Amino acid sequence: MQTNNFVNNDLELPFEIKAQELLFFVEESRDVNIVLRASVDEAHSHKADIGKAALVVLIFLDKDEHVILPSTELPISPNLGTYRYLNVSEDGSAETSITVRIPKNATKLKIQFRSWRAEIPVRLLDISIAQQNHESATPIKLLENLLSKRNPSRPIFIIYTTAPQMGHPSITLRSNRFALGLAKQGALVLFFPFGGANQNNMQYGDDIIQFQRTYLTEVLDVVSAARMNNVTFICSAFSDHQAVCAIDYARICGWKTVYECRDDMEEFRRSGYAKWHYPRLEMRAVDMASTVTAVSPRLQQKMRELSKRKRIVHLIPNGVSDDFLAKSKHARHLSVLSSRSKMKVVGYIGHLTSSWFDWPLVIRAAAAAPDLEFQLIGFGEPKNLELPENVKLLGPKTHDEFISISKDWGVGIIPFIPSKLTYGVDPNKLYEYLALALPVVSAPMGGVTESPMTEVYYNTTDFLPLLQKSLETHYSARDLEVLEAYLESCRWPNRISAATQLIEAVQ
Amino acid sequence: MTRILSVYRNCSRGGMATVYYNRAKAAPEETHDLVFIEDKGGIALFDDLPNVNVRITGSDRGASYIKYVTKEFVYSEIRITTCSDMIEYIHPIHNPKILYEFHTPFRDQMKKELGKINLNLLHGLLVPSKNSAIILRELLPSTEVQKVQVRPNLLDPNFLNANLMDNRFKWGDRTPILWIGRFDNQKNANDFLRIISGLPDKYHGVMVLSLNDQGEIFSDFVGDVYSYNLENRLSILLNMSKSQMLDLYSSVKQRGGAFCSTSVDESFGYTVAEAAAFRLPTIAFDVGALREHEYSDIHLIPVGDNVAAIRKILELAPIQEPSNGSPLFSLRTIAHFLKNRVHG
Repeated sequence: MQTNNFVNNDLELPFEIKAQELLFFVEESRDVNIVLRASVDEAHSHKADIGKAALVVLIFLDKDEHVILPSTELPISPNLGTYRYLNVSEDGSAETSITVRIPKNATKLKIQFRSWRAEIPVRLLDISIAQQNHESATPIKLLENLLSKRNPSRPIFIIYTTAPQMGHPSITLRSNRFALGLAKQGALVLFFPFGGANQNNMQYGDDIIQFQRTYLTEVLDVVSAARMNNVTFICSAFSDHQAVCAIDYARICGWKTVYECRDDMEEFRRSGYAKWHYPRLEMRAVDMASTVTAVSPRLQQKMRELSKRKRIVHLIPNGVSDDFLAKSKHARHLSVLSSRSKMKVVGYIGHLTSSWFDWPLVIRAAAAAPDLEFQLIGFGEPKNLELPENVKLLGPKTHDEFISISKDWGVGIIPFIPSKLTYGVDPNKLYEYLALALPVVSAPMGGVTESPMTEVYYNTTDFLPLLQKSLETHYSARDLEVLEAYLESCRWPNRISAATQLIEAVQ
Repeated sequence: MTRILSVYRNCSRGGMATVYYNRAKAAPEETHDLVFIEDKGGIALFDDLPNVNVRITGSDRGASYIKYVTKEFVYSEIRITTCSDMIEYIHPIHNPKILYEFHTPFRDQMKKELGKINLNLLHGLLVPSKNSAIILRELLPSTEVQKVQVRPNLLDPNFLNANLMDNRFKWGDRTPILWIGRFDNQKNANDFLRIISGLPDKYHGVMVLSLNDQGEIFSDFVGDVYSYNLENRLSILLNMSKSQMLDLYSSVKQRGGAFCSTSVDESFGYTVAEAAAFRLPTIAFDVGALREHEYSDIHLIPVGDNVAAIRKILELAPIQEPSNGSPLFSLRTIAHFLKNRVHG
């Protein structure tokens, strides 16, 4: 960042604000950030309107010193123009920070200081001014720059998803894993997370650029204008009108397209979430994408039903990260597996919302089995729960903490209320439990019927008996071999490879 | 230096933004200040014009902004469209010429807008066509009629002179039929669906929409697309840039396609004029101001006569053999097709 590029620097700080001016060189289309500190005497510090005792007016000038049309980012006074009142305090610690985009043709910024309450003198103690690149210009400019040097046949993946931004402190979903995996294979990944990305997180590594969703049409324009010919657009569970039109656009550019069904969004909407979802738009995405995948057999079937032409929908379940497999490797030993049958602790990690976590079932089971302890890691539990003493809420934990806590568990549970929503889920926690060589008792969903060391209850009356059965089961070296082979097939690199093979197979 | 202020509600990629863009581009010696109230994604449209300043105020700052800039800057003209509430905030100090622009073809809408305007504050009432002028004059008191002026919208000559061979869109063996508009009563998207559904399967509808956050409306429309069995014969594109539109016009023309307008009224008919100026066979319902354009490529059809539109498309944009570009169907085949398709 450039700092303090003053034209006139004859003002000596501190000074009492009356009607001074400062002139500063600027560069158009960047952002200017101005930080000011101001103070008042103790005698005035408790007055109600010290917050309006002084202000700054910002005026941009062109190279001929003509006034430029004012910015709209700040309040505007019909008499003064754009302004901001100064925060003031007796000790001068109060700061006023102003960031505004430098308009086209601007070469100078005039800052006028005005006393606004003559009876409350205000002293300006400090001012710093810095310019930086505008946030919205950065990822598009970055992309244009990258594309200008890129071989058009090298792969580019555009991922438009309900997942959070890359580098989220606690959530890494399937789309995030795919982005990392594809970038590792040499692709350029243009990532559109649901909530956008922080300004300082737009470039994630060398090969992933993140964008606000509002930039999708612009990115499609830039990539197609650069005549990139190995592009895949992936709509990951987010079939809004933008995505549906993006699939159509990608098709007429000759790009490949994927619709990936990760959740039953229709059911999320029925539960009050995903208000952007419309089944007809998902239907169109399914019909128009060149490849359609789903994470669970139930969603696979639903997408077939949704497709007017009953197209093939490929099952690619969720998976487990190599990082987690490495961290949990110590648990995949026969000694650890054998020790679990002596444990009397039933564990769970995940969201605790009553929308799908079967609290009545868990409470009944805990009450009926006072010799067992139920440890629940996560958040979102309903208020005013009346829990038996052997149910412990441990709150949210990191993955490392979970690994440590789970060494005392005898079984991991997935007690979801049977619903259209939960039947479609392929729970990531299944893979994490199994990576820890933790037997699982689960409600029916996803791929739980295909996984080793897993008992599935179809009636809630079977839950506790299956828990007890699981805790009493002795596993062998053979079971461990089967488990390792299963986990190997579930590694995220293998899931990504399966997806890319499907994409490449499309003519 | 001539300085002009234009005030409008939505800064989007189509419609009025294009009108303002072409005006500013045609007069680089003028400074155009464009003040919008709401951001609908169109601000970047003006990036390449050094004589244009774009500002989006938000609804809470619009009044103060207009008061300030009309006091500080000397404008030769101030042009207001739909934001009639802003007129009272214009400062009289520089005695600017205040004009209100109508860009709606609908009499009821004009009447509604007139009801919100204090005509005494205005020096002129602008319309883009003689057709609109006739409608407006009928709605005005006789003392105000002389304020009506016709100022046709301008097309971008550089845009129209482009002749791109290498463009980014691929149609395979399909013949694209282009439509540009919105989901509103004027643009009448449903008739376009009916026309495409009446054409042989090799015709492919390309709809360019200007749309923001209208998921429910879009969903309803997709339902209609499926009802007409057009899901594989329609591409719906959103908020295209100028360069994308250039490539689109160019590729449709190269592929032997056509432009089709199903608007039920037009105050000017911008997209029709643009398509025709690009020498694209242009089929449009005969409405509003369209007869005022003098392009030979515009073929007007009685409004709502989808059969006539289909016939004209088949005539002007016959399906090409992919290899040699000759029409795939003879006229006899087309006539037979129409007889079966239309009359059952």
